[in-house]
Amino acid sequence: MFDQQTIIHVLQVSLLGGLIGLDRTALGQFMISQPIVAASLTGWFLGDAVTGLIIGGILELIWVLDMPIGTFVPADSTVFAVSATGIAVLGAGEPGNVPVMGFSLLLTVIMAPATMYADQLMRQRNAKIPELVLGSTGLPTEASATGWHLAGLIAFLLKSFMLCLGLVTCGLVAVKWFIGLPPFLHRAMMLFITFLPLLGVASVSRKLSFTTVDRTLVIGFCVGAVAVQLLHIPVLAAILLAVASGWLGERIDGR
Amino acid sequence: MADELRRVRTVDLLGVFWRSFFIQASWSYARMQSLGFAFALIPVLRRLYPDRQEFSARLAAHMDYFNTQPYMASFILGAAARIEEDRATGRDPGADAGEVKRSLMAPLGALGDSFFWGSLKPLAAVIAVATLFDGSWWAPLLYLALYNVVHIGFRGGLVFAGYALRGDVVALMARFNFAQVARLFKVLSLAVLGGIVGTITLWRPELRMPVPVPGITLASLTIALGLAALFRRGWSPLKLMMGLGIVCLLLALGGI
Amino acid sequence: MVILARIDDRLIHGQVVEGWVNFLKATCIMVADDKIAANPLQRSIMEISVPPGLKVVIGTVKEICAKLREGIPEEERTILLFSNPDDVLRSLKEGLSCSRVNVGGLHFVPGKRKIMDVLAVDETDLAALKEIMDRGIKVEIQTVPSEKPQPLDRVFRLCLGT
Repeated sequence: MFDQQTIIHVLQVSLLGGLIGLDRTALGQFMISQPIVAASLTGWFLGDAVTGLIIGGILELIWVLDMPIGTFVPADSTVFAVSATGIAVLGAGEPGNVPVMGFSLLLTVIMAPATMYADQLMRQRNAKIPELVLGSTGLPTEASATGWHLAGLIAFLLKSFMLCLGLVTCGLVAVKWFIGLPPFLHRAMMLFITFLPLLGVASVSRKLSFTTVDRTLVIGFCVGAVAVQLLHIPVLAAILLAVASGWLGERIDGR
Repeated sequence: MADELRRVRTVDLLGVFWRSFFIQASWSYARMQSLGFAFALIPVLRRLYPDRQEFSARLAAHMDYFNTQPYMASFILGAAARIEEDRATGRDPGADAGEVKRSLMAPLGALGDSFFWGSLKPLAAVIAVATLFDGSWWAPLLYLALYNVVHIGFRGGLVFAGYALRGDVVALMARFNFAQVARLFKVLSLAVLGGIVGTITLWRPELRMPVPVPGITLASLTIALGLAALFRRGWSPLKLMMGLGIVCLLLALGGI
Repeated sequence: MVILARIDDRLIHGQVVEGWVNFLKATCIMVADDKIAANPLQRSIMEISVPPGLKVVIGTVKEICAKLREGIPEEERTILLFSNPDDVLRSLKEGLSCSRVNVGGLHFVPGKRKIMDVLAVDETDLAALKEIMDRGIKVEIQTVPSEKPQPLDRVFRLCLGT
């Protein structure tokens, strides 16, 4: 079904997914595992950075506030980001194919429950580790504590690796089928990618604010829109202006 | 003299700082970060308890159920180092780090979750996404830089603060008001979000700026607020993405 | 108005502050726990660990029940926290009225029986939970709003065969 080159690429992407996935819980939390970084890295690694940046930016906003608080383990946005980018780049065969990006995003996100389940399963397994450390004597040594604790890293790595491997393999088969579908479906995926950032904005604002129509957000919106459309100020400067006015609004209200 | 040898040194606390990055390597439902906590404290315990038997006993004592926000764990690690030092040097032989761990983990978890996960992360993310939508390829690097300056600074600083303050959270809060700063970060994030909708509106996939027209800009704000209202009604991101996919399919069928 | 009654042995932590407060637009958290109420240090730590603008009331189960009987104004949207099912039962006997109770987590300690990843119970907990359900109150396990709630009676049927 796949040629040798593709198989090697799939394995490499899965390994990358496994390594980046470590940052999510087990090691560091430097946020390399956040979609915007994880997807960009994957895209860059496969030679199509733009696809990675687009997928990463979209997933970032939608999932940034689905937090791992306490015992709650959210859906694995790292696996989505790496697999979706892998599928889009390897499946499209050309850089920057937007409909394929939309389709691979849909495909990977459908698997959200599977990623949560895999995570839960592994964390149940990990419960055995402290017993192993204590051993038969009930007293841990430095070596046993260190060894078994770090063995947890391998479990986390394998989990993400397997998830990415499964997702990318299935995804590539599906993309082959998608490419042959009528053009209106491709247009639908194009629209999908266009609207997704707004879904991301909604996702973040809903979790940051008590109200659906947040005042600071609306201030930022008005200032940004006026600055860019009427005054023709560069976008980043306009956003800075928006931030300044949002902050000012808050200060005045605080008095 | 023997007491002097048993003092915790800066290099030990630096070791704890380094190991704190691994605190969740064996996270499990039953004990959560318990083993990670003990693992991170090893440099201190090694210094304080040269006797192997004693060392093992103290290591086992630190393997109790423990969970907090992983960065805030640094403060408790520092506090535990100080308490173990008091115990080992005989200044306070009955000192028990378990009590401090138990009483601090939930409140510090609340503070840390809302400061790091709930405020710093979205602020760094929305700034990076705004930069990305403007067409800058270095947006992910900006994200990592903004986030990690604060993250790594706190992770290290909190170990030393925990040690110096012996786990006194009230004093910590007097130095840095997490809750207040978190609130500010959230407001700034919302302003950036508004700015994103107001300036970049419908994203061009080839990362080039569209010429925004007022009509489209207002439409995007309406769509974003509508989607936020659906989120508020309890729709999950997964469900909303599927729904959006179907709407796009219908739009495409309708010839848009 | 009490908008959520929750059993969680960690009381105020991230799941409550970042998860439920925002989701329910809560303005006040009430902690009913005898141990915490008697420990001034613990109380002050809890009071400073919440976002500004959120009211925190800490008291023994009896004190909190007295407050509930006096009535909480409609606009004070309150989350009520307990550290164990037995305290809820006591409050119900003291006049707390609610139609559902949320279970956020009771962590595993040796001697307890693990029913779910986030729920471990001993005989006292089990009896109290059963009696709460017998009073016609819906008990659901749900750590954060984005998670699907699981009715406890069904979990019991599956795990304990009762």
